[in-house]
Amino acid sequence: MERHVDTKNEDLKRRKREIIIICIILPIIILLTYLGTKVFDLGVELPIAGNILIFVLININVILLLLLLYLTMRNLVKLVFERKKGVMGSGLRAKLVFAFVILSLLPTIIIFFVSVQFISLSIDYWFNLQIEQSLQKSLEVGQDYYKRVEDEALAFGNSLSSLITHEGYMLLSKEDKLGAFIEEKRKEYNLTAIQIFSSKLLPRAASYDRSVDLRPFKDLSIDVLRKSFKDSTDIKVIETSLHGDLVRGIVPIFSRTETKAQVGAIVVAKFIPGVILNRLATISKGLEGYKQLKMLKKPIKLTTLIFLSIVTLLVIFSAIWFGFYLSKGITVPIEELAKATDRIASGDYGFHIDLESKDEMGVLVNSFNRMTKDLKESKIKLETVNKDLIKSSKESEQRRIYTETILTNVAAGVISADSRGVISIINKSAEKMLNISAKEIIGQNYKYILGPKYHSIISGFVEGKNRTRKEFIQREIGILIKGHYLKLLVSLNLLRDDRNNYLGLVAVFENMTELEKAQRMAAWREVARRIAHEVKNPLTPIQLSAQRLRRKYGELLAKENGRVFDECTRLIIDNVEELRVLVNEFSSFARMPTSNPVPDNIKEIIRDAVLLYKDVHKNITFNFIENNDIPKLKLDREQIKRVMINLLDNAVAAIPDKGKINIRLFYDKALRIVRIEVVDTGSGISNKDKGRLFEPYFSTKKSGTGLGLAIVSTIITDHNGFIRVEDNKPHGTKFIIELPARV
Amino acid sequence: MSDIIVTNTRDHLLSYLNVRDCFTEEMDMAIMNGISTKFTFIVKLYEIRSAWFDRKIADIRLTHTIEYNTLKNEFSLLLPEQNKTKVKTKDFDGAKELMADVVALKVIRLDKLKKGAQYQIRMKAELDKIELPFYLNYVLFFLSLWDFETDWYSVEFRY
Repeated sequence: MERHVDTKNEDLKRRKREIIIICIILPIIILLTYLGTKVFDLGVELPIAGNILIFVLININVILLLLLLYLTMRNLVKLVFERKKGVMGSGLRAKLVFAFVILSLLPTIIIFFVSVQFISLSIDYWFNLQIEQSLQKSLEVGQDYYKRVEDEALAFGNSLSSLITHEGYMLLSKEDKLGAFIEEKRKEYNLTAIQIFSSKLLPRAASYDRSVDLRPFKDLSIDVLRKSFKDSTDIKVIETSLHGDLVRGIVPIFSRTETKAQVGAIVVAKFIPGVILNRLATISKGLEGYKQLKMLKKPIKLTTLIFLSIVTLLVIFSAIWFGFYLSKGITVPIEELAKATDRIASGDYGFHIDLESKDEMGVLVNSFNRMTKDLKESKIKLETVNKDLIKSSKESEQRRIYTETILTNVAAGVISADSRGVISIINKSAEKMLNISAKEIIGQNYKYILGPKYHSIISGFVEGKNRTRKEFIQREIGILIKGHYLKLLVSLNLLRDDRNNYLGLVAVFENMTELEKAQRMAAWREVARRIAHEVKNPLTPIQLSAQRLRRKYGELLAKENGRVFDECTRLIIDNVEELRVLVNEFSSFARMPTSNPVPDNIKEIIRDAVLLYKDVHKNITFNFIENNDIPKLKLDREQIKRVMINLLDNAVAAIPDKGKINIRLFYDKALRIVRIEVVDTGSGISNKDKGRLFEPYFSTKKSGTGLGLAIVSTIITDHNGFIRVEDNKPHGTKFIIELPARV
Repeated sequence: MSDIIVTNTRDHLLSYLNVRDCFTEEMDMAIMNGISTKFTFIVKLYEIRSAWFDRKIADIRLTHTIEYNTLKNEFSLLLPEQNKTKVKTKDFDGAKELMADVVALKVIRLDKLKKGAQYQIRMKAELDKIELPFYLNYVLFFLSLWDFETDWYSVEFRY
């Protein structure tokens, strides 16, 4: 559109320029024509309108030639500069112009030289000596004719003068015979007129040819006659009229008696008719014209050369101009196309070439414009589609991020695999739960990762789906990961698309370990409370009854079977007492007080607990390794002390003879966790027992109640901590307690 | 230009002048080839005024024409200041002299002049374009064959 407006403006400018040029040229033509008619007077024969027309034509030619010269030179200079600058299309234009110049120059120059030679030869031929000679001879014939007529007039005059003198016709006495004589002689000599003048210049006699009209001719001048008498010589006089010339010969008549005495004059006239004169005049004019032309031979040659040069230049300039015009017709569309291609390459699909042409270039340009239009429309469509895609992609990305966020933050572990079994998603919880790295696992097939037991479960499910149409299974499985026993609730779902095609499967793990532990703990506490309640009540009456029996019947039965009675009652009392201790333990487990944590120094608590054992068990080496930068923790001092005592109790019990117990206390600044490790070199715990170690009434000791570690676990849980058990290398057990250092 | 004389009769102011060596060989040839040749004499009379531009009081253009009749081998001259009829002669040199001489040209009537006033007479002779055959005027458009004109000559006098 912008391009279209530009072209319109350029057109308007060009038209303005053309109008200005016309306005300048017109007055110039008028002025030059005026000056031409003034300066070059072309002769009176030519009408003024003709003069003006010729000068207008000449001026227009000259101005057009100059204009063409200007345009051509301007274009040539422009072309040279454009070529130097490397403007697009200038190369092709230069080639085309050069080709046109060469194509036109060769024949033009040949024609020019041939023409010059031809015209030169022709002019030389025109002015051939023979022609001039024949014309000259013709003229001489004419001149001779005149001369002959003159000579004849004088000769007849002299002859007649002699006869008149001899016969004495000038005498008055023979005056009547004079008239007849000259009449006779006029006829004899075929003369037009004969006049006889006396010495007093008076006419004596005359004879005229009546067939010739002599009225246009004046009478002979008295001065001429006087001159004849004065000089006594022959005189020729030629008088001209419209229909012919009259040649007069004036001859003196001398006296018969006196020597050299002039007595009169005879005028003999001979008429030359106009027809002959016209013929002679034609010969004369022809020769004059010929000589004039010959005089102008060189200028004519020069002028012809100039004209030929002008025409040659005109042809050359026209050829150059035509070359420019043609090349413009080719290069301008190409240039426009190149520009348009460039613009389109840079992404401007709105570019439109404004070029009106009906030739192949026009078809090309129209096709190009159509193509750009189609491209533009396609681009708009693409952009719309792209926008929609971006929008949907954003939405999908948002959904993905949302899903990932959910997956990341969900407590359950999620693992999905595609239809080929390649694992594609593992969320953080799954990584943490299964202690695996997603980076290492993703992309691998679960068939190669899982153990045969689990693999068979999944395979069975996936393969069985076709038979049973069961899309979902849920199993509780217990696994041991790096010594930790985990109870997981695994939900396995098949993934299907809208067309019910199998896409893969997703496994969701829920860690049931803590939940199960808590449920067990709660159940055991209930059991313990009930046992304590139900068992404790009858214990006192049993003990009191046994003591009463012993007191009342102890002496009576001392003599006979006294020992048996005594043993039995004591056994009852002792066992009841043991039972009471047991019930008390149950009771204390069931009614374990709520922890009351306050900021305290854990080092002191541990040190106190270790001191209790250090002195008693000499065969065991106790090492308490501590760091100095342990922060204060929120602790229930009594409960933590109990934890330590229980752990140390177990450790001591695990060492049969000699051994070592290391207690390490350190602070993990990064995780802000205080870690307590109780490591013994005892017999260790089997992997099987590790899972149930913190359950109530699970003990590996014969005398243990199985509540010690259950209590420890409960206390640590109440302190938001975590306890786990690992093997100590090479032998023994390592209990690790982690407590959060949030004071 | 030579022999410039300004004089008067009882009624008129007269001028005489002669142009020397005005006929070149080419011109002789042109005349002999029958081309009609014209000399124009321009005579202008100014009244000299000290405080203002000079006033032109007479402007005369006098044309002498010579033409050669090859058939009769004679020259016919038209000298308007001398005779209204053509002068014919067979003598080329004589004809040329006649062409170059202006004899007793009546410039102005004496009653048109002021007594005691200062006058200047200016004279110039120029050869008119030779009348070529019509078509040659276009052929020889670019050519100027016989450009000839004298400078202005002036003679001052007080009446």
